[in-house]
Amino acid sequence: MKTVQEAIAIRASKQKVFEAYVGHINRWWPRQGTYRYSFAPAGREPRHIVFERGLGGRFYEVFDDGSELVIGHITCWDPPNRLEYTWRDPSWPGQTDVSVSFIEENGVTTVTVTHSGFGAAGIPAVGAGYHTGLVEILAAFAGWVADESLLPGGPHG
Amino acid sequence: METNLDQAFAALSDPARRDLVYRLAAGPQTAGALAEPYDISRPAVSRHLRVLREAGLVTVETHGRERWYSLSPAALNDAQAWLEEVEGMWGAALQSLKRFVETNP
Repeated sequence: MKTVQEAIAIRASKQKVFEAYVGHINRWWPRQGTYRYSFAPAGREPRHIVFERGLGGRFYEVFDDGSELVIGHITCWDPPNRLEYTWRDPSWPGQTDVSVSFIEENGVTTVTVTHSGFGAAGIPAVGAGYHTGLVEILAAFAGWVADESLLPGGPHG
Repeated sequence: METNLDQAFAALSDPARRDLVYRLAAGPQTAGALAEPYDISRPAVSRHLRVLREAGLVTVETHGRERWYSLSPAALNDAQAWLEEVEGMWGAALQSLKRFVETNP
């Protein structure tokens, strides 16, 4: 199943990096650039992005008209080692999962983000051969829909 | 791209259509061969195939009396492009986190 994984090494303790990730996301989360970082609807500007600390805490955006959009909820809260939360782009049919690990060695903390859940368990295996690489993507694609049917409304965990 | 994806998601929300897509992943097939393993009628299968075609997920070619259905690489490329965008977003976000932490001692 397709998983997106990105990692970076940061010269700081894991306590500090975890705190920055959760407590100060509004100060480092990109606002504009090549990619889409906000789910602000047309005509709205992103103002804040916030994690509510602790298991079940909301991860949400606030727009310039004061309206809010919940992107996900914290499903694993293990400071300063691990953070997991759900992630739902309002234009997707289902939600996905983000897992962030913080591993410190010699004063350098490696942050690894794994974004998964693009496909649901139970996607049938497809025979090798024709379109193999693309099939994986398509399975992920189809899986968002399957995820949705497994998780009617609301976050899991 | 978003319109395509929305339509594709809607098309894939039906289990029978997802199953048709998985089977087409093995290679092009005729409408008749696709309908064979199902209890549902051939017109019903044709309707599902039409929804998939309108969503841009499958293409159809007529050879003689048979209509051959194939997965559409274009729709899959959209999904691929989308996943690459998620990857790019995280790469840039982590760079930004690093800058923030390392410049705020």
